[in-house]
Amino acid sequence: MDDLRPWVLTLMTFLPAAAGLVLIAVRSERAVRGVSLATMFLVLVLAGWTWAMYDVESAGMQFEQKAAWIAHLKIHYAMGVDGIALAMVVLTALLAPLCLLCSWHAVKDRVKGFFIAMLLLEGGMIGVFCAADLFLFYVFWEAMLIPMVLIIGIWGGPRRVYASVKFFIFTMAGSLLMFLGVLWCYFQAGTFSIPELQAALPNAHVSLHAQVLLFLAFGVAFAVKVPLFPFHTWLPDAHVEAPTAGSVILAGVLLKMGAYGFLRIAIPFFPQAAVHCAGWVVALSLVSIVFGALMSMAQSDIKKLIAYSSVSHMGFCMLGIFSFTTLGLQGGVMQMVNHGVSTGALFLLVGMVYDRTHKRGVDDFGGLARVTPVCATCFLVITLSSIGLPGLNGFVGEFLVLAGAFSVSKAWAAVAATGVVLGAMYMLKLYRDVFFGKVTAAKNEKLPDASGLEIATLAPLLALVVILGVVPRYVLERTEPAVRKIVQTVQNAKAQAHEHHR
Amino acid sequence: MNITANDWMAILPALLTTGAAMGILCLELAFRSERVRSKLDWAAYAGLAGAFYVVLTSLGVPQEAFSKSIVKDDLSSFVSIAVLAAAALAILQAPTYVVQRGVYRAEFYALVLLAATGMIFLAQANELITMFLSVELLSLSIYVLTGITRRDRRSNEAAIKYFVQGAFATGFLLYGMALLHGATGTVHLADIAARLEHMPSFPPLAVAGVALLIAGFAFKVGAAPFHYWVPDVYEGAPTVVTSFMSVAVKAAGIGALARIVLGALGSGSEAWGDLLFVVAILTMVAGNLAAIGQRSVKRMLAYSGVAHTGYALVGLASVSAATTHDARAGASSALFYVFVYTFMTLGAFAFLAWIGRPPSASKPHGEDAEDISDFAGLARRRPAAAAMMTVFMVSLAGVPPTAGFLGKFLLFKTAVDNQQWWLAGIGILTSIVSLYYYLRVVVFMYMHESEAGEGAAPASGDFNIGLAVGLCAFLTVLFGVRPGDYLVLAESAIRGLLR
Repeated sequence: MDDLRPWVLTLMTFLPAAAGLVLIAVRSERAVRGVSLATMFLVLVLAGWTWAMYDVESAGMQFEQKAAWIAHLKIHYAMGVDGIALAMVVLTALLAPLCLLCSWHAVKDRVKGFFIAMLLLEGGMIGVFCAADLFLFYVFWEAMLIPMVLIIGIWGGPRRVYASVKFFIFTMAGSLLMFLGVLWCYFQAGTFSIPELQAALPNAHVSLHAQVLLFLAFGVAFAVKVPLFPFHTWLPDAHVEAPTAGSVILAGVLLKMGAYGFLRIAIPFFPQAAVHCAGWVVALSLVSIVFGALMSMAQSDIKKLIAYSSVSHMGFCMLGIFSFTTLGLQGGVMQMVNHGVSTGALFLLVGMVYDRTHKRGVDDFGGLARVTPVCATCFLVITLSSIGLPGLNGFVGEFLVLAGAFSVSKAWAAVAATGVVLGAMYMLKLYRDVFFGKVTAAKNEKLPDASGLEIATLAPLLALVVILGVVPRYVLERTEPAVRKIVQTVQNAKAQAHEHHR
Repeated sequence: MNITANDWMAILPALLTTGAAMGILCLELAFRSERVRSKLDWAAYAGLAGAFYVVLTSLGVPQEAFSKSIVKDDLSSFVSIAVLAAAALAILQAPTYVVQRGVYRAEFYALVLLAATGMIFLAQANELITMFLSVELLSLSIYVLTGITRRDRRSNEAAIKYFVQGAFATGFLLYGMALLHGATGTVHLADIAARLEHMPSFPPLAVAGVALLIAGFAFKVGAAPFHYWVPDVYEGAPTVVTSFMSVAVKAAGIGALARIVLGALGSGSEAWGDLLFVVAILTMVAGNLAAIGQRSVKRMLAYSGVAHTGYALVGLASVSAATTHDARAGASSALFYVFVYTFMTLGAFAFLAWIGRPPSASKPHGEDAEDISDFAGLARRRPAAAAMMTVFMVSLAGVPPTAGFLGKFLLFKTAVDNQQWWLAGIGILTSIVSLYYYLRVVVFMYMHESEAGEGAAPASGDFNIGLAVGLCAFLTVLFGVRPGDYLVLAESAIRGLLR
């Protein structure tokens, strides 16, 4: 098994991609489905193995692999995960096969292309979280965009072209700014290795002004992905138009890449600038929390409502991260995982309803609890998780974030807490309108309840909602060393700045 | 002057391509049977393969020949590789395509080979007169190729426009060379460099000469503000010809420009640095902005060709203020860029030739796909072709893991290393603009449906062109993931110029 250690991340990244390329030559649709699902399942098993074998005591990278890639430019193929990356990898490996299952019957057009795109997307996403070389990170970061754009643009709703182009231009514009930052990092430190850059850059003699510019170059790229107000406008369009699987991946994994980028790159590379800009980032996070929640309340399209709720929830992540306290950062990471699980499940449920009725408006439904009790129960559990009911996962993340924020500023916590209240309002209102009351549309009287396949798709997420709510330790103990390291870096930077001031 | 075997060995690649061109013309005369004539392309491949072999086996040993007027070094080898590859890919596309359009195959092969010969000589030229003659040889061949479909008015128009404007630009070039000669008293690049170094200041006459010289080259490679011929000529020329000239001329031109500015004028970098700086920025902006509005994909690719010339010039302009050899070696990014640009753009144009409308009464041989609506729904009709075009578009836009990304990465890295923030910044901003028009092609192929009976048809698929497209797509991805020795070769090519 020790032989597997350095290879497991590479396998998880390139197995899906390789399967995708092989499937191009396969004609049989059944074979395509089978191979895709088997590959993703294998990746999930590998991810589980990695999770189990991870050494919780160590803060550094684990499962490392390094080889020269473009030796002439000192670019390496370097992979490795810390606790935060590991959590994201496992989340990705879990959500990807569920997306295949939920598309099993829903996608009817160009099935083969869809499955191949999903495989390529999974490989790219895992690559982003595992890359330990800045160049490699950028390659994965960009490369996974293409399948995502195609998934939205080909298999999406009526305004899919507009949504996919908007998504592409927004994210690419951000990425190209990051590109300048990547080059500058190399110019300054002479290496692309992320651990080496994390060690070298905070102590490099760079003016604060330049640091802030660099922080922004990376930060804008990440903020677009998170998305932080006012870079969020691509998100409602992309979420609404994307097919169910696309929405789940977008909400579950893609948004996390933004927050992950702050944790892995923007903050550790430029801690002084991060401290300098923290006030602004927190302000934008708070705006995102409240604005996202208010926008959610005003939506009549269920998918759009959930999309705006993502803006609000990701605002919590960013608030936690930029509180620069262990509590807040742990909460931010936990919230990343929770949001992936809960919102992923919400989109799956909405997708199921949409597949049956081809409607998504809140007004189109009512009284579904009587018609589809299983569906309604699942939706209730997820709703409660999403609004932070103690005992379920959402509570842990929000509580830690608020506690972290409170320890820094009571005002931040107060504003953020209104987001929690508003969250409960719009989610419960949604639940009431859709599932309680009388059945409003005659057609909805005979809706079939969740099928076996659908229950199987939802079950892992429902289980996680409870497990993470009761024993969040499983995640937190793995992320803690990495989080402490970030807090340490930031505190060093604060001390440096203080000294500088005197 | 004693001419020895060494002199001939130094120009062996060009001799082989010339020989193949002459041989093809003679064979065409001697044999009337279609059986022989249809195999003439093998003679072209033989010449190109021989030249390729000679280039690859003689890397790393710089050699001067013909009283120093010719040099064979890594720079000339690097450019020759790109040119030979482009010529081979052009000839690969041709057999059916040009015959369908009433062109004599032999003429086409011979002209491509002669143009390639001119380009190889241009890369090898070590003095101004040889350089000028090479430019003329390649230009004349390309003028004729542009107008080679005699009955096509657009092609005629393009040829005339190109010829008239090209002649004018040649005047600039020659005038610049004359002034440079006047200022230094020699035409040998090495001597020019030596004499300029010993002068107390860079003479004004030489500054004027350099400016005119750069203007002449800017025309040849299609850089702003001398790029106005590009869209008309690229659009009017037969697509197979466009695919060749859009890449090979650039490779040779940028190579020669690098040899002049870094090799001969290195000591007077302020004379050309600012000029290239302005030209690079203008070219990136003009090319990208004009490309946005194009409905014709062929014209869009022409403007994109202008934009990419601008990117390549970033590599040269960035190092003008550099003082160390290591920093100047960054100019290799320009060479590497034109090298990878060769495959992605040649492939994209070849794709246009490949995917065409079916024959109709008015157009008995069909028509190339040009308008963007021709591509609507192509992914459904021809998934493989659409996927390959996506590779080219993605690479031109600079998205990993393609060669275009690695090329841009190197260019902007050179700019950042030399703290040329304006070049890097404008380059990135214009790249964002370019995303829009490259992505639009992908959007039409994958996300729009064709109206019934409309759009480019799969019927006109021509195996040869398909093979060329496939090879280009493969190389575009390969060089993005494994650039291998070409990066090293590009750098040693530039280092060879620095002294």
